[in-house]
Amino acid sequence: MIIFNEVTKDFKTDFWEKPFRALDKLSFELKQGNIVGFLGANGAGKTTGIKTLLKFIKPTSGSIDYHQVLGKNDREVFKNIGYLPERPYFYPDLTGRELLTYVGQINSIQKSVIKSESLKWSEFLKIDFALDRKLRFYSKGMLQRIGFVSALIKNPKLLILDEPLAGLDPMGRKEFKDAMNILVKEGKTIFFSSHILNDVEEVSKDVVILKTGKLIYSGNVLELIKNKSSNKFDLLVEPYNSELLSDFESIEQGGFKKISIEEDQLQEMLNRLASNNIKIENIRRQTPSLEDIIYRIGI
Amino acid sequence: MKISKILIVSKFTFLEIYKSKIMINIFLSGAVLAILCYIVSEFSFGNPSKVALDVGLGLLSLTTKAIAIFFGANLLKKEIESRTIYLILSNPISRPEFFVGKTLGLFMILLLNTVILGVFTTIFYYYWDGVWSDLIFWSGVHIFLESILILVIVLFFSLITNLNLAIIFSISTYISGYAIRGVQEIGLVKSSPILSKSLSYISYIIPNFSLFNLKNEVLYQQALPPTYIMKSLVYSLVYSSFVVCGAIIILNQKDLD
Repeated sequence: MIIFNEVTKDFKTDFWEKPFRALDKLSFELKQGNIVGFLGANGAGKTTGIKTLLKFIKPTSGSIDYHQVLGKNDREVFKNIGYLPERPYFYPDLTGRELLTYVGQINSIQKSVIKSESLKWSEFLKIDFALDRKLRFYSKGMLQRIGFVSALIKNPKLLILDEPLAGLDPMGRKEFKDAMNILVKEGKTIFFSSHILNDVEEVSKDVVILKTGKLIYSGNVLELIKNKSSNKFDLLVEPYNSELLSDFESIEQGGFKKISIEEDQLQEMLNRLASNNIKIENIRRQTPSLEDIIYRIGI
Repeated sequence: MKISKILIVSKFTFLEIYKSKIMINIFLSGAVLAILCYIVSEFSFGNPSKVALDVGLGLLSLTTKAIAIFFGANLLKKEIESRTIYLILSNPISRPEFFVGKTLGLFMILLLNTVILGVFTTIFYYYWDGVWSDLIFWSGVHIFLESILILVIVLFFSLITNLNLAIIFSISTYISGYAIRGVQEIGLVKSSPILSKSLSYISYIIPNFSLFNLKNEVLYQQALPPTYIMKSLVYSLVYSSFVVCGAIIILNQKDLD
């Protein structure tokens, strides 16, 4: 749907200082119908990447290709892209309803559709009670919700969400994730940046990981986890006389003993446990979470 | 450029400014005008209607300029700094459409201010037995045209520099635009061909704001040359168009980061 071709972006901080490189030959592809998480530490270039994608800033070199399914020209492409900025600020003296009408009218949506879509999504995201309130009286989470509704009312094919889950309470995060799952089932593509790795792992099929403007990984989350998984197994067994298995280290865990062993030692261990009549509670391959992998990569 | 998109942006820009309590300030200016007219007319001998007109047109000119400068400087700067511009430009609308729409929205506020304070001025003028002259209407129109010119200049500067400098540059341009014609008439300048030529070149770049001041003609009921109004209308339209084009080119090239 979107292809980044060696996109580089340099920012000039001062006239005589060397430009600072925010994106460094970034190349990846956003596939249609997926939820794609966009990960990276602060300053990794996520927001710059999104701004370049939305043409708010021009790349120093490289290009971004928009698939024809989004449209043939800028107007058509932007009609099919919904965007929620990071920490959204809206016109403080407009009401939520006026904001949605404004966005709807720019997209040439019929009045009745604006009304029905606004109601549908604001009810789903539980912001319908504040639609006639001025935006200056909205809390951070409420602004996030009305911003999400404004991105959704034009029924976009691609949704770009910059830190959509930041600043939301647990219920709000769940509602946003539910909405994302519904949208992806409808065939929409969602590209979202986040620092909350558990949420990214929960909803994303693919991830794009950046480190100091460079691409670290782009692809399937499960494959990443599988590739980074070790060959170790964790066995949870009932307490036993430590002398029986003195050559293996164990730790206490919830009234059981946990033994970590390599895959090639597994059969021998199982035999020894059986011969010593030690009951096995659980055997599990050590699988790191996305968060563990991110820590390991060190971004 | 699609007119429909421009009109949507201008409608909501007008609504946003209108709801920011600017109307209270306009009516407050009307009240100040009433009090000033009353006080000054009590101290003036003979012609209170002229005083009412003088004070009214002065206040009208001052408020339109203040709105053009201070609201104009913030109009795009605030959008970019608070990132509300992202919300709009991530939709099917071009930067020129957005710029013209925002400008038009503030035009409407300036027009509203001109109409309300113009009506107040006319009421007070009549109250003190003033006699209607078309020049009063044309004077109001020229104040409005002048404020449009100031507004587009402020918008231009707000795209290339920070808020404070944009205001300072705009006020400086206004003062220079007013003064340059007078300076050209000074004997010292006339006697120096280099100075005279330099100033004549500069006068093509800096807008001629003295063209929009009809106060003397109104107060002393002097007749205007028949082509004067057309000339000032065309001048303001052409000059504003050039500045708007320049601002659009800058906005198109600008990184909105």
